[in-house]
Amino acid sequence: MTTKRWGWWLTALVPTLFIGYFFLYPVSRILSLGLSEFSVGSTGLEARLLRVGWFTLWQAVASTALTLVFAAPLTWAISRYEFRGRRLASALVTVPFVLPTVVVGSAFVALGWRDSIWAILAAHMFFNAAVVVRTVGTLWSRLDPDLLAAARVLGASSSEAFRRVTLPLLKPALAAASSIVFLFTFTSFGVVLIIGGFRYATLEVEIYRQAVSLFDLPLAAALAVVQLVGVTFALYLYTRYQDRHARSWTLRADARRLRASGRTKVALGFAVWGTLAALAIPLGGLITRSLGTRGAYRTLFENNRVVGVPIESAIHSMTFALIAVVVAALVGVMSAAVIASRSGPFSRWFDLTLMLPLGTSAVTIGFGFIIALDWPIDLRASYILVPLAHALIAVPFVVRAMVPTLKAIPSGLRESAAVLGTSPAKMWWRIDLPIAAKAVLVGAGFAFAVSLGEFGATSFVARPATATMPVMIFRLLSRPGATSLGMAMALSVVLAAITTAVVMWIDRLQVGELGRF
Amino acid sequence: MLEVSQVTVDLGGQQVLKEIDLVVQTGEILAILGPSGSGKTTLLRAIAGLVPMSKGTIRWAGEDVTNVAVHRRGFGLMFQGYALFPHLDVAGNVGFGVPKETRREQIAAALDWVGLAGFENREIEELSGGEKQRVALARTLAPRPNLVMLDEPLGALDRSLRDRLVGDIRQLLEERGVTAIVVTHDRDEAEAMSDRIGLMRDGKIIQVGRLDQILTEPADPWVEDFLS
Repeated sequence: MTTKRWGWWLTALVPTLFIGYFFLYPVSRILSLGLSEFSVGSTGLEARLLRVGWFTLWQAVASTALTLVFAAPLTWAISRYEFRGRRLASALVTVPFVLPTVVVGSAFVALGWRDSIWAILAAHMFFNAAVVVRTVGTLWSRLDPDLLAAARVLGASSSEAFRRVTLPLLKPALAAASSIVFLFTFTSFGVVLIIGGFRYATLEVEIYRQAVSLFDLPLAAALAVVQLVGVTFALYLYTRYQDRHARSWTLRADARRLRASGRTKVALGFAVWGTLAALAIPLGGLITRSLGTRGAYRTLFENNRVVGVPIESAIHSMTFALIAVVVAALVGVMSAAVIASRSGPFSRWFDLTLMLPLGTSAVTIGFGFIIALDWPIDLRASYILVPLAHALIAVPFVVRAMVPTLKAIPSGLRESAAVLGTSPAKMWWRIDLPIAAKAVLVGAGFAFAVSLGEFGATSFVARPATATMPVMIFRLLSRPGATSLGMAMALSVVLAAITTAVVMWIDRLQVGELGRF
Repeated sequence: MLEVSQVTVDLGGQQVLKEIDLVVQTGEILAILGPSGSGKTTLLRAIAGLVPMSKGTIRWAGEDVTNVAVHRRGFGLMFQGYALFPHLDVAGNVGFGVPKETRREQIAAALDWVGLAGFENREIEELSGGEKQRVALARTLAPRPNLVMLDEPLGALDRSLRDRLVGDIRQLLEERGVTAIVVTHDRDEAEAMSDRIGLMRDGKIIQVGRLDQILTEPADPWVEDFLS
């Protein structure tokens, strides 16, 4: 018993130190720096804060509303009806969501949409539609169709039945999807930086500009504090809503979908083909543009006076991703073991702390790294910060992939092993780990994909000599001339292809659906 | 009077209802009795307008309602499993199909009929199985439909509760003077709740009549077998 206790605490120690040093400590440095900036009350802080904060808020609200509207027809189609290609449609809508934000930005630039608020909103819709389709669709397909039929028999027209029955029943999923989309767009960085330039700066972009271009660290910290408060407030509202309205409707365990006929069939066609076509336009534009620029792919392999050999960024990205996977898997497996082995306030608190990096913006994490990690040794100039930042962001994915699997291991299996005289440590090694191995692979896959596409934190800590693919794409996009633009497009296509391949591999590993956030 | 003629329904390439002819007199209670999978539920849904028919007509009071939309037919249907709205309380469920002006009174009246007076503010989840059944019945009756259709109204309840409620339902329907169709797979229930019985098998109506008539002159050996 005592050995088990010791082992447990030791296992808990590593993740605690990791999160403590790479997350809690940098965030506390941001807080103290930012709050002192507030107390000094530097000139222009308030006006800038008001302008940037207001823009961040309203574009997030507008993006969320537009995403809901845009995703509604496809959600309706694939959750209520059975038709040929339904699964394919629901897989295709997820493609934009798994693409790195830099690629999404490039795709809209490829369409010639730059420096426009509409382009930002459209890119947010493009990126987040899958969140709505997956989250709301899962619930919708499980609503008992008899409820709608009952409403119709009681005298409600089909639109009235939708408003009075379907909509209220979908409310929990709508709230969840809206909160996720709001959080993503409130903390949107890559897309806004690339499409909006500095003309349309969200808090994230402004933090980056102040810290990296203007070296006004205190102001950047003050903005980061506002950002943290905003995100925390949004999360708090969402949790409170879920607590109050968490009522379990009597759902069908399985989805029951109808076959469409007549006019419904036409509507289905419009919903599915229209949405997919809209999603295909930016990606089509990206590919066309990359192929249309003469020698765009070839020049990726040539030495460029300003950016070096662009394709080398792929090697950097892969190397960093591998390091990040190893770190995230180690920390993640230990954390999951701690969380799953015991329930109680410490476990829950531990779990919550580990999830914090997920709710924090990547820019805040990167910014925290460059202002805090000069103690006890100065890590700020080391390339190792890149994979460490990626690992920090990826740990929650590994943990989320593993905990349900570990908790589901039947206790009878453990008991029979204990009767056979197996020690707890050996038991974990022999029973839990093999069962959880697949979950580890899934988590590692996520970590790899996250690392490949990560841009927010990387833009702070990347060294010019070891630029990752997203950083290289951004640098190419910032340079004038059609050649650089073509190379950016070509590299974006390469990055998109690698990411999609990784995600497809995860999807094949996973028994369930990819739609858990 | 409800007249169902030649009603045929195809679902998923299968003929679920085959040229059904049926007449229910005004104020009469007809039971549809048959084994599970015989198409009883589909018949009710076709009459309500919830499933598209490939052939046949439905007339109410001499008027063809075949192409009238579900919500304009003025028929009531109580679903198997009740299909109560989980996001609304009892009053919200019972008053769903009632116009605003008279809603409060009609909810109170309907709850009174089913013996649940004062249940307005109860949540659906708090109710017992028997209470849910009665709320569903009240919801069906509250808008005062011309025709009431009940799909296995006692299906999910335990034996003793069923015996008690069988009489209640019949009395309730008779007092209101409504025309009604009750679907069941239980012979005793069918007899206790209805004036006449329609026997159904494989999407067809085999025989219609009072139970004693059917028993003395069964249409074929299967009917005799099924009823004994």
